[in-house]
Amino acid sequence: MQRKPIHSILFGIMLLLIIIPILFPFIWMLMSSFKTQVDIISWPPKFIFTPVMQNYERVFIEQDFLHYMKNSVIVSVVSVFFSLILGLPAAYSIARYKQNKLSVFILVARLMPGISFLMPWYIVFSRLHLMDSYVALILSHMLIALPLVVWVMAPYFDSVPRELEEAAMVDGLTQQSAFLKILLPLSGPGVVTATTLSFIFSWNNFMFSQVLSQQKTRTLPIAVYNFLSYVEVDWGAVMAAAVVIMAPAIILTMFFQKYVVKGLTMGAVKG
Amino acid sequence: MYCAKKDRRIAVLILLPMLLVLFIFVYGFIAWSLRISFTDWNSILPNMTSVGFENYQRLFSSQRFQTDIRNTIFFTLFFLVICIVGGFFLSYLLYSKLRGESFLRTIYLFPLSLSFVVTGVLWRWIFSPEVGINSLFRMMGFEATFGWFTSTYSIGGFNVALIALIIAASWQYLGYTMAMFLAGLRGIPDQLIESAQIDGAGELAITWYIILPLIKPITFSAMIVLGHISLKIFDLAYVMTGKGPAFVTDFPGLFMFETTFRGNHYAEGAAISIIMLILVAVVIVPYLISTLRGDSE
Repeated sequence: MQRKPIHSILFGIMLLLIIIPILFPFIWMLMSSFKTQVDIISWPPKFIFTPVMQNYERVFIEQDFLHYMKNSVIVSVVSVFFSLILGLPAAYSIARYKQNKLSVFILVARLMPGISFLMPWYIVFSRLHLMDSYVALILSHMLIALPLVVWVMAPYFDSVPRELEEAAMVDGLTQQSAFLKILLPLSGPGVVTATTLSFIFSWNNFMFSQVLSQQKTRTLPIAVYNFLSYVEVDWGAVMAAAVVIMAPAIILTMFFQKYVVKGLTMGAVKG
Repeated sequence: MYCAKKDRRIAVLILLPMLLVLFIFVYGFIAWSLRISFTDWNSILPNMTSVGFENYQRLFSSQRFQTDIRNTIFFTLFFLVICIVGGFFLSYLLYSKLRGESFLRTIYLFPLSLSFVVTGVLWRWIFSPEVGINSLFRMMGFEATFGWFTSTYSIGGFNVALIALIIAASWQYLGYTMAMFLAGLRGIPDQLIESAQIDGAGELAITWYIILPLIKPITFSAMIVLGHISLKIFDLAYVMTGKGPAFVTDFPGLFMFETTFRGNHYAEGAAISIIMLILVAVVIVPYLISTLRGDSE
């Protein structure tokens, strides 16, 4: 919509004003993670201070956050990988053979509250002595990633003209290789969206990891929560730990902003 | 033409591994939870004696669970209204193409990629009595310190302590609703607006009579998405406030977690989780029906 210049300026000013409450918590968190305990609780907040690394040292050296980080990376990368392997063909099948009824089951699985199937997970995996194992965690995180992959990818596959695939098959490609060599590369942006989103969701997941992991496989969000409950007052270190979890997700969102937004709003606009 | 029957077989075959995973680990396990919720399994040892609806009856008559349901409803209402009104307002401001729009949009979307754990930690700190917002109030001359999420004050059943949680959750999802609305606004054909402008309609009239009706489906989707998030809220409250004094910030998810994994009351926990499922279903079933109808048209 064309607006009068005076309106545009006014709107711009409002937008900048709203940025402050959105951004302020981030800046405060980032700054505090480099402050000493004394500087953190001093008021008014110090914007100019000597940055110290002691909070990060505490997190990485005393608390062994590298170990939890490794766990988080293993769980999210492996679960996203297997979700793509299972989910891409499934999305293809839904798009090509119009299996909309089945796709509803997949969507609903994503919307269900995790709490409603959490207890059997706990029962089964403790009976199988798979508590605190990567297998249990990766499987549970796949439940988050799998429906997401299908949900994002099916419309992408659907938008590639069927003739392209048929032409390739006439030229002697099997359906599988037509899928791998033609359809998948053409749906590149979709794969990026699905991968980024599933990674972020898995990286951020709290509930499954809280129930299924202990010391050996504990992921970052749980580590930060535990940290919070016994060092209540050491806010600097807690903020440093929070920055560690936040960084990869924020960086990914910045790089793939277009895809992330598209993936998350797609269902909505269609709906 | 393809042979439809053979096609369907292939399709199902490709889908099978994934459907199996979901049918066992989601739907099967939900059925299992449902089964447990009708038993007397309220200790460490499995006990599958059926007791009918006893667990549900006990829950609904418990003070704590009543508070939980009330909290969930209030939290959901405020969260929805703030995100939808605020998100629409933001998208509306961004609608006329401004310089630096993508920069602004990125910043509004920052909180969305955070884990609820990070949001919880961050806002717990901002609302903590010693540091954070209270220091600001003290500086402005208010001596009395507001307890925020530890306050036990309640207005007509609404626990004031929830405000802190509502602010944190809305902060995280405001950008998301903005992005949804912005996508919708951009989908409105320019000619429609332009012709209305030529006819002399002012900006308010255009918004009220053209834009709002056209983005109704988006408002509906946003309500579904946000509603199902807030009805199953767990992580944020668990990390940020816990159940709070006199359960002022308690939610069914927290109750379920505590009673199951700390207290070994499996049957009671299962009953809570089934009630949560029903709450979420009330929101998503109409959405699914409308989606399915849209597909068959």
